Amino acid sequence: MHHDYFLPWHQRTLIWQFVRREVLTRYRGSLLGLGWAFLTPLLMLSVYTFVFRGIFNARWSGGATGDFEFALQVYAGLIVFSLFAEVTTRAPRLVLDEPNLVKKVVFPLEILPWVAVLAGLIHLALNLAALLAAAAIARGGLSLSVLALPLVLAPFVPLLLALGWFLGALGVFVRDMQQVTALLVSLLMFLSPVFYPVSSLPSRWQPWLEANPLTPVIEQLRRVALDGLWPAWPQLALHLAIASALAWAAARWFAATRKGFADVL
Amino acid sequence: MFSSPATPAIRAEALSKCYHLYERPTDRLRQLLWGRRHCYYREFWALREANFEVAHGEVLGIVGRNGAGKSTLLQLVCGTLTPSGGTIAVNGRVAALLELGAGFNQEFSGRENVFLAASILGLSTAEIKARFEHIVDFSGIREFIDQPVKTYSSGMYVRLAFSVATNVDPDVLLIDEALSVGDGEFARKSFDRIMEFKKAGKTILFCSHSLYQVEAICSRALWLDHGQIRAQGGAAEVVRAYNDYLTAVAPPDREGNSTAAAPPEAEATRIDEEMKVEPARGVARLTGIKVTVDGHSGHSLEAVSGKSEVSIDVAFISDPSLPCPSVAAGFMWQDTRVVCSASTHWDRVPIERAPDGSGEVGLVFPRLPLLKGSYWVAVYLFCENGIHVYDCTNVAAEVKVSQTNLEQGIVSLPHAWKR
Repeated sequence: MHHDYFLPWHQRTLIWQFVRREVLTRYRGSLLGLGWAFLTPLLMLSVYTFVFRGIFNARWSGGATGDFEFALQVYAGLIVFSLFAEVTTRAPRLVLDEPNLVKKVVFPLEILPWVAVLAGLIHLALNLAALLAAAAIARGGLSLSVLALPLVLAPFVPLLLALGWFLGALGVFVRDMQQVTALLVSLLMFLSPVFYPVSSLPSRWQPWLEANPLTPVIEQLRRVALDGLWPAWPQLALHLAIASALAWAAARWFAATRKGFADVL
Repeated sequence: MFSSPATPAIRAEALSKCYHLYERPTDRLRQLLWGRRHCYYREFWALREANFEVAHGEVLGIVGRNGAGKSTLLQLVCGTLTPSGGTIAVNGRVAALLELGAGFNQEFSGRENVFLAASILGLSTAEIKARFEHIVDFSGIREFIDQPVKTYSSGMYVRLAFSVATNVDPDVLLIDEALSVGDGEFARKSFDRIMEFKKAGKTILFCSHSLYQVEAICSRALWLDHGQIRAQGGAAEVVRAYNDYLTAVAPPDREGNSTAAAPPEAEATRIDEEMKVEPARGVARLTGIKVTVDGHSGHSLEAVSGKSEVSIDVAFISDPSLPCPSVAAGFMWQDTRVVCSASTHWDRVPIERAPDGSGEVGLVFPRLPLLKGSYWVAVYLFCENGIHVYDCTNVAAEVKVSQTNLEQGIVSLPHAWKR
């Protein structure tokens, strides 16, 4: 079972077909096409920067000053958050939306979270490229530490897969999961260090924020992409271990409940 | 396929499927979590303790009334359902012609759907690319292959799906209800494709209400009733036993032909006069049927048992490049049960056909042996092997037979008394 779930290499053709379809459906037929992948975060970023800097007069603690610098820090957080938000809001419908694949054909349903995560990662890669380009222009160059970006994102993948398997299976039986995840996502936007660094919080709140699984990803991403530092290795290893354990548990849950899918779809 | 011929293509042992009916989706989850202590469902046994084997290259027919478990059995074989009890073992790749196009995505082009559907069936990109041209050629919808499938007509949709399903080189073919899909030329083509599979020695499971077709193409048959196997064995014996059973239960309950008991006026395919038609590729059509009783022809006729002469003249047009079709005609009760019939194929009567593909043949029943009652005249145009139906009409005419005596029964057989 484990290699069907964690290394679905033999399903690569199928996964690729689905990822392609996923990415293309989003932009096919729209006038701007792939332009939306950049335009949406850019517009959101301008509004956030205007609200937080222009109205609330927020400052990025830790030395970074200026509107552009603030925007870069928020962009780094938003990139991570929007992938999380996308996977989490879609997860309860992953299986629910494909009754034909559950009932009419023999289909490896466990790859559906992979499809959602890989499609999201393509999106993330585009935005990451935009972030690095902006950072390079603002600073006149990039630090070598950007090479560690794939490592920093590595624990994020099992975490998202875990959400996909857990919510994907639960959503089939409990139809109100979509409302729950939508609410959770909008709360987490402000409970994650997207618009502020963890260090700006009073120290008694900081441990609580560290419990948020998005915190280490966002903080590490800023570290390697914007601050020119290498990742905090022990924290990265711990995070990877926790995320993998969650993914393993979620895969077990999915495998145990999937025989009931066909009965209720 | 590396399995030795001794291992059967399909083996089912005590195969059972029980559907659990849940009031709410969350009850299903509760059952999974706390199933040992509580029961949150009602049971429905669709298949109980079925034991059978299908050898490589065997064609097994499955008959039974609606809801007898035929589709459940096919779904268990192709793996979309998991058995609740017993085992099912299938050797080789299965192509199911059950839900054609179920894996298709409406938004995507025919080309993309071919890749998607074939990869669901387990082909790699290289294998799909190698077969792609063949799949598109067979489907005959090359000009539309880059259009989204939501713009396809249902015929085009089913053609493409059939083409994908039969081009993945299956070892076992599952067919539900129809031997051919689509219409016109494609129906003939898809029928030929299935016959090719039979000739190539593939294993076929064929589930149908058409007992005639089951008897014609299957070597063995299996009769399912309320989820249990009532009989299995030679196709002819099983079909006869099933037919006896159908006749014994109330006739209006008879399922299968949806045209049952339709009034003659509702019949859409009634053909009135000779029509001038060009022969189309790969198909054949009835172009004219004339039913005559004692020199009077029409759609509503009266005949006298044992005296009247009934003749049925049939004209058709066919693709001249195909072998000449065969014609069958006969009398039916109005619940579509066949009373008697005759066919040029089984009587081995060659039909003269003009070079343009048109032909005519007549069937005569002298001194009509039917006893009193109301009968429909049905005419079928079959392929040269008498299996694939090109065209048919169940109500070419209605014949009301009257009787001058009180002899009882359906038919007066030729007989003699010895003293």
